[in-house]
Amino acid sequence: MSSGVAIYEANEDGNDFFFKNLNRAGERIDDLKRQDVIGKSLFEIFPAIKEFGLFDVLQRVWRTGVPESQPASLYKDARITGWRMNFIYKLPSGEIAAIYDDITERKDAEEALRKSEEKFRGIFNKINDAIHLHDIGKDGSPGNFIDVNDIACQMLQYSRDEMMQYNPLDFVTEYHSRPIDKILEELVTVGKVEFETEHTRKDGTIVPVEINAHIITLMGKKVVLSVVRDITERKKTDEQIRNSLVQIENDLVQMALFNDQIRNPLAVIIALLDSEQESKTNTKICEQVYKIDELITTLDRQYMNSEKVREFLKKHYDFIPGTDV
Amino acid sequence: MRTILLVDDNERLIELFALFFENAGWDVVTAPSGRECLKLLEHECPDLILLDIMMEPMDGWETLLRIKENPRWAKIPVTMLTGKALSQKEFDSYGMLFEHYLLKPLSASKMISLSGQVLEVHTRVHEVAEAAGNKGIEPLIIDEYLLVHHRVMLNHRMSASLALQGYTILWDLGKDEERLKELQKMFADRGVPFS
Repeated sequence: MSSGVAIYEANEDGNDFFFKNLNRAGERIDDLKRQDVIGKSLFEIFPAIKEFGLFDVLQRVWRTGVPESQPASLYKDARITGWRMNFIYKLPSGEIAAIYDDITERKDAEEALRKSEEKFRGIFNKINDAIHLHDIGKDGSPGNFIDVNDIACQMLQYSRDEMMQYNPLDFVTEYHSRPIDKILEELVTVGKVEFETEHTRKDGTIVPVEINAHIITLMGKKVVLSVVRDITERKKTDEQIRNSLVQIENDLVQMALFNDQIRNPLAVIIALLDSEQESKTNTKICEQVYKIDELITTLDRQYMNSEKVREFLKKHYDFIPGTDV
Repeated sequence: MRTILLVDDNERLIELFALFFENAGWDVVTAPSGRECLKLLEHECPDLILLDIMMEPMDGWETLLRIKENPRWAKIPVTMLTGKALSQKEFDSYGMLFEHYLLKPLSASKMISLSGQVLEVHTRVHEVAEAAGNKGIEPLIIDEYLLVHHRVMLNHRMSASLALQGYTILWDLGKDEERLKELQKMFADRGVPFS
């Protein structure tokens, strides 16, 4: 028998219980010798028996004769520590029998699992990105949510319970960085996929997101774990950079235009001087015109060196005057 | 008499340039825009076109493309004359379509002398090509001769100004010059006269 069995006899008023017997399993569980405990008081062998809660149970069963079980409890004194589960009943002889099991290993395992789950849940909820865990169909189509973290709820403004009623497609807009059938195909064939889309919040506002989805096996079942990142700020920054570049490019194109516009009157001056008799004054004017031209050439070099401008300079002339580029 | 078509939207400039070319013995026709230039080519056949780039709505590059797309006008040599520096991309896109690229401001004497040179070389090389055809040289070889000749001439004419703008471009001049000499020798061996 793997369960410990101890037989007690109560004193007259039931204020103490004395060992009458102890089986081998009981000896092993509590590291005792039968001969050392027989006739001894329960308090002598287990000084923390009241704190443990068993003493009250023993008294009730002795008084009422109604069997009771004691839920899993931790016994701890200077000698031993361990989790025990007791079942107590009164024998026809009036003696009290305690059948008990050592459940320390099971409780330790449960505690380790609880701590591990707590740790995982902590990471799950404290991570800065939203996490969606959802089912997946054979064609890669997403099924209902299995779990989401706190950030996912905050991002979309739904409670966790509300979120569990939906699947990821219920939140996405029409926009996907790639066709959705290609995204699902890659998820199924490669096992992971990264793409951008937009989610609609409960209040109807849109949040641009980058999704990194992986197929994982959870309790023997294939599911999708998606890390969903809010890229609103990145999009704003990209837009600001793009606008700045367009502005810079516009300015540079304007510079090219001005250079041409400045050179035209210079060409007229040179032509007018050519049509007159050569004179010292004309020569000096000519020198000054070419000095201006040198300055414009310096500007030309500066903007021509910009590869961005060259890319921007589209097709032939590379800009359309009077329109936004 | 040689005829030049001046295309520029700067009225004052075109007026002065026309005067200089006329004084230098050229016949001059003028157009104030790319569209007018194309219209004019329907009934005029200039020996040389001097084409501004920055014009609206049809700019010089588009006008150049239209001219070169039309078989009747494709052989007319074109010199670009503009206030805008030539970009690498522009050179790569249009380099084979124009004979020279002149940057304003430019003295009248230099412009007229360069225009004369461009026309003279262009005429001569096409005479050679025609003579080569008459001597039974394959059209493919003649086309290659025209192409390589164009590249060598453009390189000579423009390398100085492009280097001034900080470019390191153009084709392998040494290779082109070597091939041109081979083709010229081949032509000479087949009795094509070189003046």
